[in-house]
Amino acid sequence: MKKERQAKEDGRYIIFYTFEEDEGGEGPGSPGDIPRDPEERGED
Amino acid sequence: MNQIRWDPTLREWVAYATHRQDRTFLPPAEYCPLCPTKPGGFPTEVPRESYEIVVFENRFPSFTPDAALQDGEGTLLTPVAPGRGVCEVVLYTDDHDATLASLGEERIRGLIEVWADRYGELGSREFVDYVFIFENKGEAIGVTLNHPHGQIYAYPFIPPRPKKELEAAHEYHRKRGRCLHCDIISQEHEDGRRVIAKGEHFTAFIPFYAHFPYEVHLYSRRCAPSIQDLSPEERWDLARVLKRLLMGYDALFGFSLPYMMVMHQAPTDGGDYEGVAHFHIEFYPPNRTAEKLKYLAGSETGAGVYVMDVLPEASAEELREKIEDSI
Repeated sequence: MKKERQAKEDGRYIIFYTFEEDEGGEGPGSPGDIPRDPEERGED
Repeated sequence: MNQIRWDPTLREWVAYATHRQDRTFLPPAEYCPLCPTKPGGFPTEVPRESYEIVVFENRFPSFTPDAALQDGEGTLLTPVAPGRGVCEVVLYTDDHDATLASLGEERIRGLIEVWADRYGELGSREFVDYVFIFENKGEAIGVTLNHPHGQIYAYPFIPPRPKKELEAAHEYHRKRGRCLHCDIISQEHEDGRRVIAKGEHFTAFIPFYAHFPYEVHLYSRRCAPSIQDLSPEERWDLARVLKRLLMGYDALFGFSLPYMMVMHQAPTDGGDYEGVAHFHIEFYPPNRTAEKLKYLAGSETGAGVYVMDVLPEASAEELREKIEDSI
């Protein structure tokens, strides 16, 4: 995660967060994830 | 003007922020102040053509870091204090028509990183005792801007509801030597009737004592005091279970369900909350049917007694089926 902090014209701050793919830990394709379609699991 | 006034009858602070009367109210989509600023277009809150997740200080804050006390107000019986704190807006995406439910798991996972970052940064400020992360969704809840966003209030005190919950958990821990919330999750797992979704590390259930028909509590199964204490794997699991729950909510009545989403976790006042604070998210949708809302009327507002038309076991079964169908 990247964090870029800027000052707005009225003095308030604004922070822009950007992300790299697959950051940190087990991603969406981990074993704990449940496929949406049972056929994806190769079940009869 | 930001000030807090003490209510000695309920022993709680009430916040006054009179400038909020003038805040933007449901502008048309083409004038949304939370969308990116397009070339040649009107300047919004975000001076970029696109963005992923953005946090900025609320233009109409209920609390401000530089709030000062005005003379001549308050008494020993009813003291006043500066409304000193921080109010932030969290923009989930630059897509005006998205909702938290429609975001991909990766974006929700990124949002969890942002929430954890804000909890740490705001909580480290000397005058902040509690970082409250929440989302009001839908006009039924009273939102003034429809762009997908949440808010964070960094309070100069522990707000009454989390405080009451923490006091109950502290008393339980003192008497039984265990975490109240861990025992609640164990009971819900053993019973099973109110559990609506489970991941590797998180469980969503309608509590035995729900105050709204479709109120859901989403608990970390490990006793993590705050969102900042979650491991990367736990954060991924939270993103997955949160997504499933919200998709189920939207499938419930066939429209994007309004809700209040609030996070309860450890205060940032320097106290020790190990075994007492247990990170969880609570959802309070106001709908009791597709057309009817549950109002906080006389008994709920004036007496503090919620009267429910449906048992949690029945609404959990209904919501669980919608979640399973929407996977």
